[in-house]
This record gives sequence, C-alpha cells and structure tokens, in this order.
Amino acid sequence: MMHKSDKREILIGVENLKKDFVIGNETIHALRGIDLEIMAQEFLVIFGPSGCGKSTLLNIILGLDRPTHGKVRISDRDIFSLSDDGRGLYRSRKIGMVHQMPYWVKTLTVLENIAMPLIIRGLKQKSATERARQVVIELGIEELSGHYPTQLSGGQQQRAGVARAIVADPWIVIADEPAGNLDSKGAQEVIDMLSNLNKLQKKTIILVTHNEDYWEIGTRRIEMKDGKIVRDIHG
Amino acid sequence: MDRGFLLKFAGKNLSRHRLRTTLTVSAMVIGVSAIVFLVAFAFGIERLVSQEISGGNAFELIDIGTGNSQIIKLNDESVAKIRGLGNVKQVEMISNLAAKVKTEGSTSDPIDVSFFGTTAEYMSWSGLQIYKGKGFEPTSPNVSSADPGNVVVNTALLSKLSIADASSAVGKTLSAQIIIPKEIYGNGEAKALEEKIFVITGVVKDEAAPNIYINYKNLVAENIKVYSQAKASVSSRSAIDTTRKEIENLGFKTEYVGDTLAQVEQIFSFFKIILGGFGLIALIVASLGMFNTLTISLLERTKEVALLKILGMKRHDILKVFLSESLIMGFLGGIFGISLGIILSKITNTVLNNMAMKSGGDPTNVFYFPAWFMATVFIFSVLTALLTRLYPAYRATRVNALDVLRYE
Repeated sequence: MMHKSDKREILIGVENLKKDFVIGNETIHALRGIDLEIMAQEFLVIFGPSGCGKSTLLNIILGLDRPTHGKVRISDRDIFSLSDDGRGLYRSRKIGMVHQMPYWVKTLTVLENIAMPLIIRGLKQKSATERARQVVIELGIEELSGHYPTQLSGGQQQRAGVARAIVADPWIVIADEPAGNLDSKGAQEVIDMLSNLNKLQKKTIILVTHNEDYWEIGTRRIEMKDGKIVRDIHG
Repeated sequence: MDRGFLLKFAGKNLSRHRLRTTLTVSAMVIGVSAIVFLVAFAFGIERLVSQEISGGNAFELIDIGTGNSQIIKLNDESVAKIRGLGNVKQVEMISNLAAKVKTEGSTSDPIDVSFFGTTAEYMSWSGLQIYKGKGFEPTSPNVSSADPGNVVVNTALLSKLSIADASSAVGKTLSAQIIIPKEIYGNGEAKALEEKIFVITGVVKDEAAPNIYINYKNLVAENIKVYSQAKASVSSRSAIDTTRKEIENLGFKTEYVGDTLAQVEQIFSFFKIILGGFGLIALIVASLGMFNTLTISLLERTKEVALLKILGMKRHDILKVFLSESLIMGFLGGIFGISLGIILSKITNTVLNNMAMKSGGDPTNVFYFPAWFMATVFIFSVLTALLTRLYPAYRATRVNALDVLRYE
C-alpha cells in the first residue's frame, strides 16, 4: 500500500508500456517499452520533440488510452482492469490535469469550473465552492473567480487551470505543455506556479514539454525519443 | 452529484442558447396545448351529453321500479331494505300523481299535468336543475311543517299557463286539484283531493311536458303509501353490478343510466382518441424538431463532455446533466402548454357562448379539464422531452475524450 506522504514512495508504476497505432497498412510504434516509476514529491520533466510519444504516455497514464502492451499500476492495481467509470474515479481522485489548450465549461464561472472536480467527486456545491475559493486565494488568482473562462487571457486561463488541477488535492499534477500557447511572461507565471506547488506544497508534478528551457527546473528529468526513454536523470 | 448544482448547471446550459431553448420549448408548448385544447373539447362535449341524459352523478345511481308487478310494492318497508344493502348510500323516492291546474283566480279551464311528490335530491339526480327561484330544501324531518304549499314547476307548464317569463313566475300562485292514482293511494283506489293553492318557488328548464314537483313529505297527510319509483346512490361505480343484483333479488326492476352512457362514453372515447391524435401529431413533429436540435447541440458540446470525462465524471452523471436539461424543458413545455391550452379553450368558450346567447341559447362550458387528464398531459410532456433527449444524451456518454483531445 502506498502513501503519498512517504517521500520516496512509488505513486504510479509503468511497466513495459508499448503502444502501436495502425494507419492503413502501416504500424506506428508510438511507445516501445517504457518502464517508469513516478515517485512522491518529484518534479518530473518529460522532455522530447514532437511525436516522441510524450502525449501518448500521458494519455495512457491518465487511463484515457489503452496500451498495446504493458501495465500502469496504482496501489498495485492495473488501472486497465478498471471500468471506464473506475478510471474516471481514479483520475478525479489521484490526478489533476493541466492541458496545453485549456478546456472549460463555458456556462460556468471560473470559480465554478475550479470547483467542478470536487462536485464530480460528490461534494455539495457549497463545500466545493468554499474549497475552490481557498485554492484561488492560495494561488493569488481570486480576482479571476467571478469571470467566465472566455473572458480570461491565455495565461489567466492556465493559472485557473492549475487551480482546478489541485483543488481535489490529487497525488499528481500532470501538465501537458502548459506554457505551449503562452507568451514568455504568461509561460513563466504558470511554470513558477507549478514549481512552487512542488516546493511549498510538496505536490508531485509531471511537466511534459518540448521546450528545452524547462529541462533544468525538474528534480527528475526524462528525455524521450522515438517512443523510448533515452535519458532519466535524478537530481 | 449535487442535484441543486445539476439543475443550476442545466439551467445555465439552456440559457446559454436562449433562442434555441425558447424555440424548442415553444414547439412543445404548441403540441401540448393542441392536445389539451382538443381533448378538453371532447371531454366537455361528452360531459354535456352525459348531463343531458342523466345528471351529474348518473354513474353512481340505480333506478328502481316494480315493473308491472301487482305484488311487489315500493313502500317504506321495501325502501328500508334497499337502504340496508351494503353499498347503498342513499335512496330517494318519487310518487307520480296527476293534477288539474290553473293560475289562481283564472277562469280558464284547468290543464292536466303530472304532479310529482319527490325530494330535492331526486330532482338533482334526475338532472332537474333549478333555473329560476329556488328548489325545496333537502329532505329533513321538519320539512313537512314548512311551506306546505311550495312547488317547483317546469317551463313546459309555464308555456301552457301563458307565463312567458320564468323569473316572473316565481311567487305566483297556482290552484291545483291533485289526483292520487289507485296504485299509490293507501286504500287501493284513486282519490281526487280538494283544490288547493300552491306557490311557485322555483322553475326547472324542461319543455317536454307540464310538470309540478312538491316535496313528498308535504303529502304525508294524504295517505300515500306507495312510491312510483326510487333512485339509489351507491358508494362507487364498481359496486353498481352487485347492488343491482341485490335489489333485483328483492323483486324490483332496475335500470342503470350508465348502460346508455357507457355507449356514449365508447363513442366519445373514440372521439377523444381522434382529437388527441391530432394534438399528438403536433407534439410528435415538435419532438422530432427537438431531437434534431438536441443532437446538434450535443455535437457542439463534445469538448465540454470530454472535459467532464477527463475530470472523472461518470457516464450516468453525464446522462443526468443532459436529462436535467430536458426535464426543465419538458416541465416548462408542460406548464406553458397546459396554460396555453386552457387560455385558448376559455377564449373559444367565450366566443361560442356569445354566439349562443345572441341566438337565444344559454351559456355553457364546452371544455372540460379533468385533473387526471391534465396531470397525464403534464407527465407525458416531461416524458416526451426526456425521450427525445435520451439518445443524444446516451451518445454524449459515449464521447471518446481522447479523440476530442487528439482533434484539438
């Protein structure tokens, strides 16, 4: 049994993960046998060029895509032995996600959107909103709360996206190219926010990027190429 | 998932596309109001016909007579036996007498009329509603001592007596010599009573034959031992058959107006189905429009559904999100559709009544809205809204979040 408070504990174990895509007569090997243990409190940067398999790996870790071969273990259980709804529950409890393109429920305010993961988990709206308000205050973005997502700039949306990712106190926050569409100032704000979450709140962060500038900020750095891990540097 | 949030979320989603929502709900309103208007019309006509045949609660009444029997008598003793039957709530009687009548002081020849000793309840059960003035009080032990000379007459008698205005007839006095037939008179032979003055207190609308009605308790002193007919009201319509058999076992003949009305009902059931069918066509057309709109609206929201799935929302919760929206639309469609149907009915009724009154008729209600029917229409509209959304909502639960992410 794993406990997220234990520092060197394995939160997610990835075993010999392979993923093939068949397009016409051609088979593309997106992942060619990935072994990875994601440890508590790591700031893991997964770096690689476009098409190296980073997003495929993330989608499989999130339980959104099935591997051709291999397992993703959490609490000694392969997440693909769970139903669709079971994997949904796993995502809502264990993982917070920050996308490159922020997705929102446009009819809800930013605060309501941030509270959404808690409401999905079954909390009453009042309690969920209270918790969401607490998070936006912690992250210093309370001025965004009452707006609708479409009224925010890209950088503001990403910072609100980070708030939504951590509101349910997940084990891991996965950020997939979170600064990919932002200007340098906005990008830096989001990266700083993630970095602070790791340093101050001891959150485990996985940052997926093709931008070499962010290579150094991780406590662990993995480089991928052609569906394989070619470098795994701790420290 | 928090139901309060679910409804708020559904409301916000609907208000996001106000025009689309308004048009979709409007289509439902038109369909529902068409059903309400047309079927309420059929119910109204059926009710008018039923009232014309019988009176309001005819389905719970049994007519009792002796046929041509010389042995079986409908007297206080046998009425007590009928009253004692398990499902019988009340028994009211009528004695058919005859009379020679003229207005008091008139020198013209008296006219022959039917003179009935009965009760207010019996008259009401027979569909004889007071048109002008007032009827005699419901039967009570003291009635025989009060206003012994008060009678209710019908409009046919007023015509015979050349009294054109029914209102002016109230308070007028009649001179009548009552003749008690031998079947009713205690001694077994007919008897002509002395001429007596009666005051008209009420008028019923009936142009068939001249009739006078008096509270039969006022005739107690005249040694009337036998009643011509009786009506028994039973506790429920389902008890009719059993009670009829029990009464017939006592030797009496029974008739049930429901036998006739059942045929009328059958005809009107068909009429209602036809009219309801027209309304249903409108609702089906509206539903197809809704189905189309909702399917398109789902396609616009795949990104939102994908996000909810990524955040961990379960399939049945996604289903709830979409079905809550249709629940609200069905609710609004039902409420406003029923309201519009009622308003249109009222307007039509007013127009018809104005036309009827101009041509000398009486105002009446040609629309009738039974509570169970309105509740059924409301439930039906909500179910229709839910059904039209079921398939789009099911498709929403099948959205592949990853496909949406990849596409993006």
